[in-house]
Amino acid sequence: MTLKGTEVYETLYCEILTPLALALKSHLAEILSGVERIDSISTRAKSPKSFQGKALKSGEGGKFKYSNPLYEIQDQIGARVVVFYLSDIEVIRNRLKEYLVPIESLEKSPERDSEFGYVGEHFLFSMPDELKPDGREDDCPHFFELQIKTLFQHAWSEASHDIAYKAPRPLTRLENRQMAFSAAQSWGADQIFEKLYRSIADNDG
Amino acid sequence: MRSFRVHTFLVHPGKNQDPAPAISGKEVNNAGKLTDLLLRIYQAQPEPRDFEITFRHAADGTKQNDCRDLLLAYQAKPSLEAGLAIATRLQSVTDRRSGMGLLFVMTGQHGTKFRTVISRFPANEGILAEVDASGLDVEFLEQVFIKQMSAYKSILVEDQHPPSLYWSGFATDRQAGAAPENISSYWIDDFLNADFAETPKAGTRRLADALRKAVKANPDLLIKEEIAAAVSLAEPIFKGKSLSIEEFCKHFGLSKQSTDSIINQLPKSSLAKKKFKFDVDEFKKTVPYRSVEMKNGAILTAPAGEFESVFDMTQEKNGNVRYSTVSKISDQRITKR
Repeated sequence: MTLKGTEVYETLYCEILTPLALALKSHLAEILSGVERIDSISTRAKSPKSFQGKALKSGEGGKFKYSNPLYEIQDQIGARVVVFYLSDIEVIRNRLKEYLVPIESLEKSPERDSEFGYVGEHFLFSMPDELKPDGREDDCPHFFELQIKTLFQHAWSEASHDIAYKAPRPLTRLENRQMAFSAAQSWGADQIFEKLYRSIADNDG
Repeated sequence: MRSFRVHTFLVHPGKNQDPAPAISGKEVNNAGKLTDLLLRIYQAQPEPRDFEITFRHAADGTKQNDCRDLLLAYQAKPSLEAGLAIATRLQSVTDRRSGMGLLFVMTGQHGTKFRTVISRFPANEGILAEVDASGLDVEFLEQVFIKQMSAYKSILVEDQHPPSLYWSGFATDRQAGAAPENISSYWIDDFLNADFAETPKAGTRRLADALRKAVKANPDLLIKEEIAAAVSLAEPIFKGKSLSIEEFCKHFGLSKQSTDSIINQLPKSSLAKKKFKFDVDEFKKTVPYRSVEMKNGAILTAPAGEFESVFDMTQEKNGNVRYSTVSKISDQRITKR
């Protein structure tokens, strides 16, 4: 089954998105140069398979969720910055906003204070003009998604994606509790590392 | 092919006024000189004095902007009602200083894209002179709009798929004069709720990087000198001002070779026309020092923006130059080359 735009996407993936993701990585590295405690900066172009999977998702009333996926799916280019400690997130956020213009800026966390689960900062930034090849501007995505996470937030979301999101069956109640438990431990580790870092940095200073 | 639709509204100031004055509006659908004039505004390509803006997201960080929503609603279904919603928003931020204005809301298909243009013309005064059988008759007119095309505000947005895109556009404030930094906050902040599409640091960094690389890449000493001098003088001249790289080169009267050399350092030449607000701190950070290396082995270095005032240079008859400076010694260094 195909949908309007999915064939075009394959061509764009090779010609535009893959080189654009690479260029974005260098661009982000330049913007963040000199910032300490960055574990990694990574970017990726959404694979045609993943794009097709998302494009074919059903929405309300059994219709396709996206009527024009080429424009509506806005994570065709994704980026992630992983930092050591919680306070590093703010440093990265501020630096990025000095050079990039966001159209979305969200702190994702569980709805209730007593819950533990996915945590991370998500942004949709306008794609910098200088990364779009001359004459192909209209073929480039207007935006890219960027996440900022600590090492523990990243580790948990990767494992959670692999185990829970890709699970061939719904997780049992115990398994869900185990996922939440591991999220709580990851949250706790971030809290303690931040405290240790602050304490040592303050005493040193 | 979608037709070109236009609605117009007479907007009196309504900021902090309760109740706000009524807004009169109508669809402009008669072919004639007015439609021709509006079509010219609608079809005009952005000019160098216009600048790209991006709508701000909502205060809670979600991908939503009230003004953009109104533009989208009008674009999707151009109607008096949808246009009135835009006029009402404009009225709510218009104070007596901005005065009465005539608003035109236009949308249609432009090439492969869907374009929406909003233009506001301020009210002016004029005199109508007519000659009839009884001779010359003159009448004072209080509500004259579009007296001159050099005084209006507008926003142009166009994209292939407005509901997902329509986040950026070109804003104009011809009433603010030629300098985009003078754009009224009434138009960009209060009405559009938008920012420049490029941050001052991003634009300034691109300029400074291009200047630095051009000096390094070019073997011609005259070109190096020309560009280095421009770097030294740039900070006080452009502080807080809007410019493009092309305008930077033009301001200093740089030779074609120097200009080409700078533009060649950009990732793509079209960036030379892109407007940004000059950020002094970013410029200082990216090109902090200017150095001159003499053939006798001397190297003179000073902060780029102060080089010309730190060193006096005189040209001697034999082609040599003499640099001099007077100060106290603060440090000495021995470094590897």
